[in-house]
Amino acid sequence: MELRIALAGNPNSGKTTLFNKLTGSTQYVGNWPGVTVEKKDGRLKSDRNVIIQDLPGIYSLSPYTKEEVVTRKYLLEERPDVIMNIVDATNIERNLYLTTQLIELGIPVVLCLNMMDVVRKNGDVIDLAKLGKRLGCRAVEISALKGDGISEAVELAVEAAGEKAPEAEQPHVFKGSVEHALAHIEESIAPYTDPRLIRWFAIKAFERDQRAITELGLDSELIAHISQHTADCEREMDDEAESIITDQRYRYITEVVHETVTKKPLKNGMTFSDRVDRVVTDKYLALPIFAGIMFLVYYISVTTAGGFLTDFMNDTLFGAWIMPAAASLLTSLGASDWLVSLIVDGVIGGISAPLGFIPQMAILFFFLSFLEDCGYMSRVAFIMDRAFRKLGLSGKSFIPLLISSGCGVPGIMAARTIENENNRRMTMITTTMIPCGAKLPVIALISGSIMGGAWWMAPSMYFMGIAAVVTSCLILKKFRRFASQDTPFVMELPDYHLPAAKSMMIHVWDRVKGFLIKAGTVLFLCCVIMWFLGNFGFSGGSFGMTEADSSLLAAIGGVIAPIFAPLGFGSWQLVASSISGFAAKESIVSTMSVLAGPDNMIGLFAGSAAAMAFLIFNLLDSPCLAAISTLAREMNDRRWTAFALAYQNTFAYAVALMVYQFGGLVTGTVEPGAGTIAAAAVLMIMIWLIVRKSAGNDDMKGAAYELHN
Amino acid sequence: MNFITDNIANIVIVGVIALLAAMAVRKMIKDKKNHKSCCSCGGCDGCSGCSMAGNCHSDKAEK
Repeated sequence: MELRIALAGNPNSGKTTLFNKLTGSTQYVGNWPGVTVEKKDGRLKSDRNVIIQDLPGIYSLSPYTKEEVVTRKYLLEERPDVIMNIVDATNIERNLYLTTQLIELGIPVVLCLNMMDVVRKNGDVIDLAKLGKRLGCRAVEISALKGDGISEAVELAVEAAGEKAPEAEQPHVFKGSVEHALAHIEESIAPYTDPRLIRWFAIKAFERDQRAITELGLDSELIAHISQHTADCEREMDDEAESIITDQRYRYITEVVHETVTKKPLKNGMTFSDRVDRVVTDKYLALPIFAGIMFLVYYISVTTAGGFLTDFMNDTLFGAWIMPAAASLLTSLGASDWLVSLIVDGVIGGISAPLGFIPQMAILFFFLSFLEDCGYMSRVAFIMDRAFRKLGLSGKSFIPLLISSGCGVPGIMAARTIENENNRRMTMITTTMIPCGAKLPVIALISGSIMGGAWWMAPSMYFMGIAAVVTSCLILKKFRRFASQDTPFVMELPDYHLPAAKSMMIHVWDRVKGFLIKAGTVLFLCCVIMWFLGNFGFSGGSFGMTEADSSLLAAIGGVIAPIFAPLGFGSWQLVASSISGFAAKESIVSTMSVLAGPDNMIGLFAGSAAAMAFLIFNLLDSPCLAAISTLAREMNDRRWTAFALAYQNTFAYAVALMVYQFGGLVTGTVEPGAGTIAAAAVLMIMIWLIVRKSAGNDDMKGAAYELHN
Repeated sequence: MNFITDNIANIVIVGVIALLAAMAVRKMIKDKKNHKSCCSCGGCDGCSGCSMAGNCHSDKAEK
């Protein structure tokens, strides 16, 4: 017989980490809210009859957010056999608020105190037995990250599930007239619901929770009767029903914590995380520190350590060993010259071009993973909230941007947690402007080969992506369709901790594996097709292998190329490379290598301004097909998807035009002319779009923050 | 017959390339059917390794 265990708890309490440990899954674990938006199922590794269900992180069972609605609906309607309530023991007081609500559901609860290793390290003590007794449930210490105590927790859950009703009597959370009113309400609604749910519905009816009242199906007379009990209590306590319940819950929790938790006095009353946060979230220092860290991450990944390894991969491994060896092997086997060219220049040359950048990607993902896991990236979302509120967005919109630095697909999907539809659309349109891992090869190629390995190039592309997002938001927000009030951004900041090496390695390996599989599928096919189109064509009245300039690709690219001539890359090879980027962004470098040869890619550019324009266009234009299809699905509206793609490409074209025309003027590769006038006009229009008065209501509300405790 | 014997190396190598291309296409089609996408987000594990697992294709499930 199958047993269903639901994992419920506050955001960032470690539910997904525990879920992964119990089921052997590799679900994405994030240090920000909204990582789990819908419940996920998995079977327990040690017993396939036990189904573990990971629920979205919530602070309460009030139906205010999407996550709360999903969790509440599931717990009430599908009723798991047992709830494992994951509690961040370092923030026990806040976490127990949800616990008091879960206990009222009449489902056995096992209280799992997570991060107990940190509690012990802080010198705090929690009386587990007393805590369990006060809350009327079983309690166990675990460390989801290290796997400590999780077997015991599951054993307790299985044991609790065997009981028909929760082990102990429900705790007396409410007092005086509140409990008196609840007793009357319980009596009134008893015939309308399952006996196990009477307490839950009585409290909800007291709070005038319309969803709960509708679910009960009470007649108007009974509703009025219940309302009278609530009104009497409100009058006596001089407060609103919901506030009375909240207040009494916290009073009860404070009492329980006082009895069961002994905290070690802090130095200056601050934890280590508080002391670090005083600096990294400082009003003036926060942004420079973030800029400095991201600069270092990209500099080390692309220019120093990563650059050295990539040079070895490109020049020695592929350039000096694999390609000559493959050519001589094929020749010795008697393969024709065209076939040698297809395999060596087309397939190996094409695939190796982006593949050579794997060390840089791996190092970049390692650093990003470290920053996320240690808790710093959560602070960045908090820091950026201040800046984003000025744009009419909240820090919640910055989370998709942080995720997009890995890949645009989850970045677009992460926008789901943004309640405001206009802000959500704007975030989805702009989030892929942040350079993802697949764009790293083209950044590294241009910075390494064309800009002479300039130290500032790779980091500046990340900041250019943020600047493009900010500019786009400033422009779009002025239109009525995007104008909206921002919503408060509440986020719990986890304590700083050293990430587990294994989880970081899994993260990096997942990315690299994805890249390798893509090299064997999409890139391989792209290389073969591009080699064929770039080497075959009509020449002298017949179709066959021909010079590159007479090839099919030259003919097709030649038609489109004039459109890109004002951007400085009007050659058919570069146009074809840009277009191939829609299949996968790695294909840009791959196609350049196939069409020009691994050693001649630099020769495709007429100067550094043209190279920069090419790079910027390919960073800001529409993302790859996988991200476009995600965007279409998330927009769920063809017109909005078409608008998003049109905006991305127009914006990319406009920025690349200015970069080439103004950059070319400075470097002396562009003569003043029609292109320069067009670029100046674009600049004027862009400035006007940014500074003009908003067409809609752009009032801004203050944001709410929740820091430690 | 002479054509085959003269070009046996080419035929075999082209055959291998065609086979690899067919396998790549097959994998891409299979992944698409299984709602896996070969983007760089968590490898080609598709939904299984994604934070939005089971959420993105709910429209199909509802039908």
